[in-house]
This record gives sequence, C-alpha cells and structure tokens, in this order.
Amino acid sequence: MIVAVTGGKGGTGKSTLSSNLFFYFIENYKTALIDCDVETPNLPYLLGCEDLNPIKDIFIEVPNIEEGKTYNYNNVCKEGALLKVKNKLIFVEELCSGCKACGINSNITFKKRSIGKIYEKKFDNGYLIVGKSNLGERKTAKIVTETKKYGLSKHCEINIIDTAAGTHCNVVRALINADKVIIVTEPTPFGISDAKRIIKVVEKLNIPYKIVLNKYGISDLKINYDFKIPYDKRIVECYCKGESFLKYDDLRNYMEEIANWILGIG
Amino acid sequence: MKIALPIENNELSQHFGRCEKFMIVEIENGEIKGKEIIENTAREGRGGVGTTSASLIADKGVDAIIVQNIGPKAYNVLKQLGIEIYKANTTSIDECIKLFLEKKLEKFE
Repeated sequence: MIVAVTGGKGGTGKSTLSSNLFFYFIENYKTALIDCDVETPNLPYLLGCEDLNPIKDIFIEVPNIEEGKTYNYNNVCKEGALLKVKNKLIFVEELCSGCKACGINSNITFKKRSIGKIYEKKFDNGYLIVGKSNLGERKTAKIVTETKKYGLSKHCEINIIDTAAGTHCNVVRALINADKVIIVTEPTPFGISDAKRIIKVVEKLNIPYKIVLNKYGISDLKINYDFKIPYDKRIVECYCKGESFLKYDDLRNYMEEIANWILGIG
Repeated sequence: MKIALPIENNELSQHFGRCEKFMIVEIENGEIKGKEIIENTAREGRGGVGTTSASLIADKGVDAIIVQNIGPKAYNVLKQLGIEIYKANTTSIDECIKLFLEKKLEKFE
C-alpha cells in the first residue's frame, strides 16, 4: 500500500499527519515513511531523530567539456547551458538540467554531477527515508523519483509518501503511483483555495483520495471533509518536541479513522 | 570595433537577456561607421535567456556591450568570450554611444 499525503498549502499539517500515521502503523505493520519534500525535508525533526545515515547521491549527467578538444555540437541546448560561439564551447553548469540532448549525434561525453542525497534511519519495524537536494539546484524532481524508488525497495507493507506543498512537478512526481491520497487542509481561505487546486491534480491522476480537515475549530468556514483533526494545544506541543500525539487516546482515535481508510477497514 | 546595446522601445533596455532587440554599432577611428538592429530571438526562451542572448551578440563579433543591468550568468559568458561590459546611467541610446566614444563609461567589474 502506497499512500501519499499532500495538501496544496504549506503548513496545513502534512508532515505532522505523515509522522503520526507512521508511528501508528509501525506498531503493527512494516512501514516506510518517505520524505519527498526534497527541497525542505523536515520529517527527521518530527520523528525526533537527526542521526540519519547517508545512503547514496543522486546524479544527473552533464557534458564533460574539455579544453582544446573539437566538438561537432550545434546549439541545441534549450536551457542556454551549452553555447557554441565561434567554435568555442561555453558550458554554464548551473543551467544544465541533465537532459543530454547535446549528446545526440555529437562527440560530447558526459560526467556525473550530484544534485542531492538520500538518507535513511532504521526503526524496529520500518524506515524513515529522506531525499534532500543540494542547495541551489534548479531541478530536483529526479531526487523525488529516486527517493521514492529507494523507499519502495524496502518492500514495506505500508509506504507513506510525504509530498511538498504546492501543485508543481515535484508534488506530482511524489503522487504518481500512489494507491491512495490524503489531502490535508485547514479551515482558512488559503487552505480551501489551495486544496481545490491539489484536488484537481489528484483527480487528473485518477487516485482515490480523502480530505482531512486539520486545525478543526479555528474558524466557522464551511468546507467539505472526510476526516478531521481538532486544533489542540497538545498536538502543537508534540510537534515542537518531535513526538507523536498517539499517547492521547482521544487524538489517537482521529488517527485510527484515517488509518482504517488507508487499510481498507470499515 | 563593434559594440552592442540591448534596446526596448528605442531606449536602452533595463534588462540584458530579455530585451526586445540589440543595436550593433560599428565604430572606426572613434566615429560611428554603421548601425544594425537585430531581433533578440533568445528572449522568449524557457531558461538560460541571458546566456543565449550573450552568445547571440558574441556571434555578431561584438567587442563590448553597454547595459543598465546584467545577470551573473550572462556576465560570465561574455567575460569568457573577452567581451567588455560597460555600465550606463542613462536610457538614451545616443547618449550611451556618445559617452562610450568619449571613454566616460565605467566597466562592470
């Protein structure tokens, strides 16, 4: 089972929900929690662990331009990264997306460049897998795909994918192949507006989804939802300490309802 | 020698890479010998607009450019090609060329 947690707006509680679902599932199922918010991953803090092991680098391949070598390259780069000016080749590495179009019908060779890393923390009955981009990288979607692939290679019964905020490429890449999606939102005009946008994306991907209304009670705004989590100071306290809130039975019940939908029970 | 100016609505453009056109001015013995206007075909690009624009004018055999502003990537490409970059504090094209000929423009360093 692959369940992706998304929401459109930032700060609605995606990671809070993901980490508490992880703590819930790990009691009975082998579970992987995969942080696909690769530009600002912070699940390690929510799980109260910062001692992650680096597993591997994510590479793209960029042209290896050598001084004094003649290349039969004609300006095909759409990123403006590889320029041929009067038989001189100029490579602007930070613009290169690694598409390798410059290598088609040319004698250009390639070298690997790291754009980020995958980290891992092993738990008794599961894993936290985190993808993290190098600062300044323009295109980080490959890190999302590779992080997810690595996480799924652990063959856990439950895989929770935590996506970034927004509706951009990295979010879509994180959602693809999920069996179910949870959309976390909040009763604010911003939460509602952004949720509508991500719902359209999820519907396009044709993945069954449910809406979790987090911070329930902070306003009277009418909003359709399937599950709720109340605005509760105990949740905020746990969040700040990097602990789960499952120790509070009433709060645990809210998690259980969501978990049962993921498991297909009731 | 040849100099290039990014232009927009017949004035010096505020941007280098996203300018509408380039004016290429040919100078000989301290006098204007000829002017040519070329379309900036790079401006609608997805990315790397600055670097592509830089290669566009470099292909025209330009020795120097006069700009109001320029991004770091385009700047580096021009530097690698040995093209000098001068800074103008006016948007008048004629004034820019006049100040250049009088050697009163400062270089972007």
